[in-house]
Amino acid sequence: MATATQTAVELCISLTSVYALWLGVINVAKNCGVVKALSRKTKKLTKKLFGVDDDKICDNLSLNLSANLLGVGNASTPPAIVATKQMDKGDGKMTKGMAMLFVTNACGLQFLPTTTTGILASLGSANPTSIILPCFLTSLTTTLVGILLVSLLYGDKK
Amino acid sequence: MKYILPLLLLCVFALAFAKKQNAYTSFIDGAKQALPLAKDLLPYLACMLVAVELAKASGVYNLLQFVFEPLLTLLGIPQQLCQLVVLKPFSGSGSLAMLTDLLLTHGTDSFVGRCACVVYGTSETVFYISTVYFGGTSIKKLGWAMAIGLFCSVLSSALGCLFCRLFFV
Repeated sequence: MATATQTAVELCISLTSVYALWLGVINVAKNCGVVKALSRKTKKLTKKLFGVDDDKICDNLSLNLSANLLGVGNASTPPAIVATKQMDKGDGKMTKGMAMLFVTNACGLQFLPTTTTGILASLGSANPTSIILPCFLTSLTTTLVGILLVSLLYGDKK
Repeated sequence: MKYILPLLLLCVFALAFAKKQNAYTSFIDGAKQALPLAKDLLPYLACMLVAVELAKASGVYNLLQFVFEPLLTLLGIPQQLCQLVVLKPFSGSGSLAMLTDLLLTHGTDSFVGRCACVVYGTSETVFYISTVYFGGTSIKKLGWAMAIGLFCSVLSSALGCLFCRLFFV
């Protein structure tokens, strides 16, 4: 059993190195305005996708999507929580926008699965980047299926 | 493929240079969060890895595998991934522990190992997201949204293994 906790310690040390690299790089990109630029570009798409007209809600939604795509997990959650609250009318009913936000986040589409490639590299994989493409294709497909299902089941009412 | 990461990093630093941003301080600020993040994760990970050990040693692991095997075979998912697929929607640290265990047991460049990576890397902890997002709202029942989220989680496991078969076999 102590080998299990030792694995945990070793894994945390490996993760520290993965996090240090990616949180560093991602923060450089974030401070250059990459997340903001991407969310500005995706705003029209967001409006259509979520069936939301309000500009403030749209800002939060596209911020959440962009941060997810870039793998900035800790930057994607706060705008999502705020957006969910803004879309809540207080009647206990789930709107299309809320369902869409929940499902797109559950599918976790991102350009680079940094944690996974990092663990692979730290455990001595010969080719840690080999899983990037299958990962991307898989979550792209499930995200599209999720969007389709939400549109079908929540489509009639906005 | 091996030039992707260096190229990406170069692009990011070039962008910082072009935008006259201080890449050094930005990097330091981001990297600072690494140790606290890993430190906070340690107790959960330790607990989950002990649970994995225990489930293996006590035979619960085999039982679970036996129950879910027909369904997994149907979906084209290697049966060794059973626990990972089942635990994934509930616990992030649990599935991370499971991924590590699978990689150590079967090897990082094995078919099972790669499938495990794709299954882990392609979906979020659905139940965790649902509590965080809807905790402060009037929504008490998630209904179809939860069903779609869970369906996508299972779909990503099946599809991930399918893509692994196409890419790596």
